[in-house]
Amino acid sequence: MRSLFVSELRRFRRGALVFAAAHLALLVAVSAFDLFTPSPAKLGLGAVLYAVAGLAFGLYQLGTQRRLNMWTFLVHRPLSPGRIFVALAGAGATLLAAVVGLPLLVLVLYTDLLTTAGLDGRQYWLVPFVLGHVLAFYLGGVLVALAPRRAFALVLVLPTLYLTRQAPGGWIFVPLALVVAWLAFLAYRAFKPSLEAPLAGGLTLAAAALPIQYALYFLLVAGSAIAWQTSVVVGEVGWRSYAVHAWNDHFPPGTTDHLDYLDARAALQHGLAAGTVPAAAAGAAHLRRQVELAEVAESVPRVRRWPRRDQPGFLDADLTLVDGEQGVLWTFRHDRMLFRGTDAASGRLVGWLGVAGPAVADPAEAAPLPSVPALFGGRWVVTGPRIWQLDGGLRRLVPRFAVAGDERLTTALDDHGPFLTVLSDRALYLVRARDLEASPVEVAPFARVALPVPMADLQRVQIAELLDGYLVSFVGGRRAERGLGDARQVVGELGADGRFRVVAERRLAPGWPPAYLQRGFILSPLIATLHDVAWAAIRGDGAAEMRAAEMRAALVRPLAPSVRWLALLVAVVSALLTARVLRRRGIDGRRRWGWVAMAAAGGVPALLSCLLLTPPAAPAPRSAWRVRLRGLAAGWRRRGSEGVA
Amino acid sequence: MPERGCEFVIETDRLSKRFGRKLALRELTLRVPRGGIHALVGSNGAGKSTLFRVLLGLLPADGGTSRVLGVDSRRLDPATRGRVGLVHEEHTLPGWMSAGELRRMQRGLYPRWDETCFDEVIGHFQVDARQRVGQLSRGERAGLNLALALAQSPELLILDEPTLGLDVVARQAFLESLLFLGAQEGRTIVYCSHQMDEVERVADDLIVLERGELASLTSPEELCRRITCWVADALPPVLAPGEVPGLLQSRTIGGQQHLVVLDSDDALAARLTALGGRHVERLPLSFDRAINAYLTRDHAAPVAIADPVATTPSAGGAR
Repeated sequence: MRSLFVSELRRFRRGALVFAAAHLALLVAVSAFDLFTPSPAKLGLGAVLYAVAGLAFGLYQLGTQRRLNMWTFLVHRPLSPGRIFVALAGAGATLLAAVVGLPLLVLVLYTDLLTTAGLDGRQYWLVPFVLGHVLAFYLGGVLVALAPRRAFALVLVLPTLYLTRQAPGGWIFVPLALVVAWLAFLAYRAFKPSLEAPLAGGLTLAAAALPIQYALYFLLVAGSAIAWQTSVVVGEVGWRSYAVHAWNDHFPPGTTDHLDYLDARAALQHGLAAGTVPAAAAGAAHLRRQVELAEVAESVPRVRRWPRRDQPGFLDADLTLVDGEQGVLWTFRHDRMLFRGTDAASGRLVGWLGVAGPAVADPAEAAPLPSVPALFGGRWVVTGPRIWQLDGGLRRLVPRFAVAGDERLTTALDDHGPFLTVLSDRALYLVRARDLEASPVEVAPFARVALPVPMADLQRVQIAELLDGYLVSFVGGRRAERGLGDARQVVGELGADGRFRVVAERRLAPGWPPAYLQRGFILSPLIATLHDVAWAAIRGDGAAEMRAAEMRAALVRPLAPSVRWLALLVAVVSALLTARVLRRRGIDGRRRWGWVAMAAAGGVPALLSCLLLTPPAAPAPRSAWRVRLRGLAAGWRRRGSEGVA
Repeated sequence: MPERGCEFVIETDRLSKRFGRKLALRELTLRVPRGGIHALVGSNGAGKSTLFRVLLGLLPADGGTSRVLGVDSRRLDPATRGRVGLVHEEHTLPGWMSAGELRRMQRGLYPRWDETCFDEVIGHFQVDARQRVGQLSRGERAGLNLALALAQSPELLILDEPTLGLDVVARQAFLESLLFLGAQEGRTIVYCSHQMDEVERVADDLIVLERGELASLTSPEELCRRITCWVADALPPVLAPGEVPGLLQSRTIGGQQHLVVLDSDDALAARLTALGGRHVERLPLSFDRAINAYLTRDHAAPVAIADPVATTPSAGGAR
């Protein structure tokens, strides 16, 4: 096995050297900009490039080995296929570590130890993450090269478990490790002397079928959405209207989708017009006239997921305050929980900035921030309960606003001219602009309105300044499409006395019919449930209680009766079709019933995966048909000639 | 479990393999006894290479069973694989390795590696150990491949058209190595080739495959004895089916009809005379011509795509 491992290393040694050199050169070029705090677009591009490199290497390495004579030489030897696979894949992984991981590690070490920029310890996580990512796609390539069917390419959906969602902190490595292990297991099982033979074993089949069904589920959900929307455009909206207004005029008032297409003033007016608070009906008309003349501001929650200390650097939004006037870049460092200031032109260290006093040269003398902040507008620094403002001239952070206890802010101070607003997970705060300008320290709000809909559902807040107060509208319904949460619009008057009086309230319904919104569940109850539960577990939104609530809601989701019946019908039809397909393909016994059970739970994706993964029946010999046709023709001729005689 | 004492090195029972609509192996039942050199011949598409791949577990069978050295082909363990050598027509070896590196790698894998044997075989081909396999000529690669296979000291050596594309010198060296070093006591060689002179030279037994079926299993001499050539003047150029039993081939050369016939006796002379033939004469036939006539008897006219139900042997008398 060792000799095979060494042989494979030798096979790619030249290519590996060239790739490693090119990789290092590229990294050096990119590091001049923002290698360690990339924008989401650049992060995505990097992920794609590494994925393509890993996939191409896996496909090439095993694709060239699987040519018949080469494959014979490889597997017909006194070594078990498992050991041969370990030798080859081990060599591949070693090469990837050398050409991908090593240059990255060299650059991280260089930047951290030999440059003035320095790095957080957490930036080192970039190396194992990229290595794991490229390894996942390498194993995917190996699997696709070895698999008996092309459908196995669909298992490449697995990396979305760690790519599309950002698990909090180091937890991102859990789905990454799971995906690598999963693909390694499948590639190991696909490595067998007879490449044409189907994968053996119930566990292997399930491990292959599940991600394939998952990929098919996404394709079906996306495809059905496109088909549905196209039919609505063709049948109801019309292409011309759609080209001009998109969906603006399609959804009926009183739906969350209708509100999504309205500006702040229109949203407020609709809320007042459709409100159902009888006592306020007369006053509502008066308010609507005022809204027509007033400036209407809007605020939306910005921070739903707070960054964690020492989370891998590539998960961060850019944590740099750019002080253009002073020419200083203030970059937040997790290691010290301080901002490190560098001169934008020279890269020289300017100082360390904490939450007490001006920037200092010695980081030990600065007061660290209590938690990793979110940054807004180049000057606002928001931690959970507090907002600071950067004073570039004095090189200090000035505390400007705070909430008490375990309340958490979700915006900075949003400037609306004469007043500013702050949203927390419990309330809306209004601050006068003149108070902020006059005070060098924290300002107190002149009004606090408790959120009438939970933050988890809150989408937008509209605020209009009236003659004698403010009119505030809260729009909830963020989770309405999933049948969860509180979908309401609540409009209230904030009087001079600081009291909030509801003047209009209405329930909101989703704009699309239930069958469209729950099409994922109709197509596959099992995958839809697994999908929602997995995402609720992986993503780091909100507190643990909210995550648990989302997982519970995914398990026991509220469904319209029509959706239940449709899902049941699809499941039954899928199971029956699966049974029929397998009977025609000559698959019986436990394997057949296993597939049927899977189709009953997994619906259409399970049926399709069964079609893709089970070997088709041997085709009927064409000449047999010819023989029968010839026989029939001869019979007719004979009868014809007998008739003539 | 490997069975070292089994009587047959290769056994198949109603073995079938289908590629789409084509049946490459059609319920093939074959037993190859231990020892000697067994030649496997058949026209292109007869199923020879497919048979080897199924035997070595590289292709799944669609029906029937097959065993190699007593072990089910689907469950060949590493130890059994170590007892079966294989040399195929392309001589595909890792082109990135040098001949010496390849030798060292294989030596570490095979417990019964015979260094002397390797040296003797490779000596026929003048392969430099430092040369990369990718830079070797086809003949040199064939020699290296044979040396690697023989040095493994296999109980069963399968050679799938190993001399294809080799020049006369390389072929000669290959055959000499095979004859002098390959055919050791107790070793079985299955030799597949289209070169009938080679087959005649090396084979103890002759296995003829036709469209995935076993057409004949006999010695070359026996098959040669059964096939004879009859020459006659004034015969009709086209004979009706069944007029000459066992007719394999009919040609008109210089105004004479040359008929190659299987299992004929002196009574055929009288029959040919009755058909109008004059100066009927029986001539000896070389092995090469005999086997060619045997293999090509169904290829004179286009044949329908194979079908297990519809196709009937067109030269049934030849079986």
